[in-house]
Amino acid sequence: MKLLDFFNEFDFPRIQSVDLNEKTGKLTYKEALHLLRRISFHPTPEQVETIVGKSATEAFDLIVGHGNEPLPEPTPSMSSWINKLEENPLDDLPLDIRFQIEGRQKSHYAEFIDWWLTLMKSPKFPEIEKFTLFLSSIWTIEFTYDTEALIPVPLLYRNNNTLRQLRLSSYKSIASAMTLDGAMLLYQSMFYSTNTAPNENYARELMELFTMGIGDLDSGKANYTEADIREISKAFTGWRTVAYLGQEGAPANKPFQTFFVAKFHDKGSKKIFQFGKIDPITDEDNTEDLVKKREIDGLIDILFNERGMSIARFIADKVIRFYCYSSPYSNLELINGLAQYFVENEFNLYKLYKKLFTSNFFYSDELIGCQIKTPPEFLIGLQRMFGVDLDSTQQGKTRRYMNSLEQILYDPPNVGSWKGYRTWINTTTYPLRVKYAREYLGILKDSDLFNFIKKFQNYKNIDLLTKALTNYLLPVEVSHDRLNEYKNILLNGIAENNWENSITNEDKKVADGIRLFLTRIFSSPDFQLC
Amino acid sequence: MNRRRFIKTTAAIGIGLELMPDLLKGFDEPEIIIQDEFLEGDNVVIILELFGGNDGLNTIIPADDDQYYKIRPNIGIPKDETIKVNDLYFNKALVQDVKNGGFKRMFEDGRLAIVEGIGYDQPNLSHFRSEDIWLSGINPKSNHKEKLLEGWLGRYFALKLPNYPMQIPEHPISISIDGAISLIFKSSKGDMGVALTNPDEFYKLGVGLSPKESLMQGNSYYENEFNFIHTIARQSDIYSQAVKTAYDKGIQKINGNLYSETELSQKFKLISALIAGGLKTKVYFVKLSNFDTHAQQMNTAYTGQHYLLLNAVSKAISEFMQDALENGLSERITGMTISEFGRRAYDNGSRGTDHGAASMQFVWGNDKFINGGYWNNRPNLVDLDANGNIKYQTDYRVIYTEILEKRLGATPEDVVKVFGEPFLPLNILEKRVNSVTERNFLGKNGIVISPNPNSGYGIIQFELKYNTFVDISVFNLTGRVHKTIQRSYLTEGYYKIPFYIEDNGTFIIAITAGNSRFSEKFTVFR
Repeated sequence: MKLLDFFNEFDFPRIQSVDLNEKTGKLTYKEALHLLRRISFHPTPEQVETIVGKSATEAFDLIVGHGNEPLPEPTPSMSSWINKLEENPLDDLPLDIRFQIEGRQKSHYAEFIDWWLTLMKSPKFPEIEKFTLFLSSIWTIEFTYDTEALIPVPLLYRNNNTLRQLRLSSYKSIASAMTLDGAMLLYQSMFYSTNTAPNENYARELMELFTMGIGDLDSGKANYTEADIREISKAFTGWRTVAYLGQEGAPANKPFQTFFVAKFHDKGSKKIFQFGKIDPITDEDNTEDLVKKREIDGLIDILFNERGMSIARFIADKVIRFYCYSSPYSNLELINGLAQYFVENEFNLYKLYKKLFTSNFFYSDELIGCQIKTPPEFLIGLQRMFGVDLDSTQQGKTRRYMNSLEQILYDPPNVGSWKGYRTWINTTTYPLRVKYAREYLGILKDSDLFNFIKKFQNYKNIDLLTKALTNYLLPVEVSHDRLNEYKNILLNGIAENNWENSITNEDKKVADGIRLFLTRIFSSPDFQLC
Repeated sequence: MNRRRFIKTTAAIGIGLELMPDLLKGFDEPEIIIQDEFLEGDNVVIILELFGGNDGLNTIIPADDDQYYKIRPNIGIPKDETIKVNDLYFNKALVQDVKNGGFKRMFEDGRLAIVEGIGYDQPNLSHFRSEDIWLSGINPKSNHKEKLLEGWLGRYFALKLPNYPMQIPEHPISISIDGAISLIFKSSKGDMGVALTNPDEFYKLGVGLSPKESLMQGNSYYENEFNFIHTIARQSDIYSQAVKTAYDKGIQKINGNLYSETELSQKFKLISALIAGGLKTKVYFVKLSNFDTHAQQMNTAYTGQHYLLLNAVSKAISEFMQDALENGLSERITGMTISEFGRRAYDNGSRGTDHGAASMQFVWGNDKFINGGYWNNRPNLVDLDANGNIKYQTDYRVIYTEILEKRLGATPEDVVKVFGEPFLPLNILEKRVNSVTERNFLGKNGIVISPNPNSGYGIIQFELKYNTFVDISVFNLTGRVHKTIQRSYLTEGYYKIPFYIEDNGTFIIAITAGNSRFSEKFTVFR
């Protein structure tokens, strides 16, 4: 029945607007909030005020920065181990030593993730971590430290910093950097790849998951063949990272750095796609610098030269899903528009982001409030809204809660990353989200609540306050009926003309009313949207 | 079709709402499906995953086969360390210390089927990949990187509940007794079921979550996502209450004393309480891990890790079935074990075994509705595959097909939709509580194949008693389709249909109409 098929299609609406022209005019409160919700983990009330009245470009510049900002420092505790090699537990170590090493690495992992979460929580401009997380969601690493692919945590830390550093740079340079990233070498088994037995894992994922996809998003044409995978894996042979103490062939005093082993490298010619060609090299030229130039950077060049538009479409699609609307149905016209711009601008992410986040499309009504909050947007968002750290009651709580909401950082379900969209909300995770929000409310003191309320200009007027609060906490303006209901909950029995007095005096009844109001907001479906 | 959904979308394409004034009421009530053929019927299926790869060869031991002891010098179990049950040799873990005679008694009573040689083509030796293959019901040997993100039961339930999650059954259709929902229940429509380990905690989390806000009327992305979340919230509330109510009632009814203190038995006790308390959930899923016995699978006393695991399995299942019998629920229950692979035929040097391929699985239930006994041939320990693994005899989806068709109301067409290809059940299960009347659509001679055996050319003869759409396909003995001869609407009458089979071997012709099937074996040799 054709009509039924049509209805099923409606279950996943598609983006209609494709206007990528620059938005003119000053940003309204709603627009400022929308921008901040998408390119950060939710703004503080003050941050919204900073952005209101700016043009889209000014707002973007202020929030995004330029990418050359100094990188954040590790904690002192982290500094004690991020350069420290340990033995390889798989090297026939006695079982108890092995368990000790594994235990240490697991606690380092927890520390590292807590550190990253602390960075996410920071309510400062420029916003750095959302762009880092975007790349980390694509260039997946699954942390393991108890089976065959052991990834020492210092390598995760370095991987994270590389992505942070390159978050606004050229996607080509990200591809080059990730190809030689130590965590990636281990995770994708390149660490074991030799000229006699080249490992095809990374070559395949590089194309299928990290750059272009199996088939072009527009034409559907296959982007690569199995032969291409084989040839590319040959080019990638010979690279190792210093991951363990006493590692064979590892250069001294270079913990966790990538190095080249000439004898493992395939020196023959490689033919990739239609025109891509890497000439055979002599023993003399089989050095780290030259091979990096020719067969890592050079190979990335080939991929981007011959599959530029496919890559641009693939990445544009990911950008749209991550920042705009994660519904699985894409608008090809929009993707093509962004992709074209991406190619013309040398695959520069900064320029792509600027184009996107200053466009009419981005600010179109259809995009407001349509993103289901990912676990970090939800949990970090709570903190950004009210200013109190969930971890203040117990170290590591944010991380544990995020894990139970099914996003374990640096440990997605598989190399294909988190499925996202509606899979974040199910009968297990939705009740947990509400539970965590209520628990969070429980750690806010009455004084925290008053401080929060007073950030809204017209807080002495109950009507204006109710409106301002709902406009800040929920993504789309609510109906009159809902506003009225919320107003009455907030009043908590206080007469309307007594409100100003009560809140100025910080009456207990007002604090209780705020709690009831927030409890209600937290169980509204649109609190899960941004 | 959900009429309210119709309103929403036709509004979006501009048809005037005034055409349907009586349906303009808002979406205030949740869409719980009250009456549905699929949801009727009280069959309950339990799936127990033995994760890590259960060593079937040491579960049901081929003690009469000398080859077994040759290839397992370290961990072959001597005949006198096994328990003889009819003409099979059980690992004593399946019987020892288990009340009520454990699996021995169940097998003798005809309540247990042991199906040998379950596996699939081109076995994958990675735990996670093979587990995904078993749970998804898809074997993508052509694209070994194809992501398997849905389960066979997820797909089937999504098929039968087309408006899910906007329209939901009264009770969760499946429950994973675990912290997270198994892949087996995932579908493009979301998770087809819930996960819980503790009904009280599950209740506390979900109760009262129904949003006080109404569903939205429009069709913007925001409103669509709002409504989706609203539905999940409502579902959480409804289900948390349903589970708690059933548990509180059921735990009083069941015989808790029957259950051992092991974790697995306690999980089965929970399932028993939920069923006895009236929960209408159709499938329960439990996972038991640590079957990956590369080393120290067994110690010199023939106990050890594998023993403990098998013992836990036998205890949990037989205790549960005893409870079900006492409660009058046993006729409703069917269970099966699954495992991502067996273990290698040869043992390794570490008193263990490496990843294998085909293995036996258990199917259990009430003897009225299950054809217990030993199915298929003994494992061939001489003709192993290139990795030294036992070759499979029956595709794992054949058992799934049997569960779908005989317990969950699936037609053969449904099965094709779920797996992408048809499968022929072995008839381990007898059909139970069939809500669709089955008509014998062939005449009393059934199918006649002549000549049989033949050299590739033959004729299928049958009498069709009424007009119907008919599928005539040839299956090989693994249960997978070999070729389809004809699919068309036929009028009643006598038919003689020629066929040609290129390969030698034994095959099965199956004629299917609706959800009825006739089949007949034949042999080709040249």
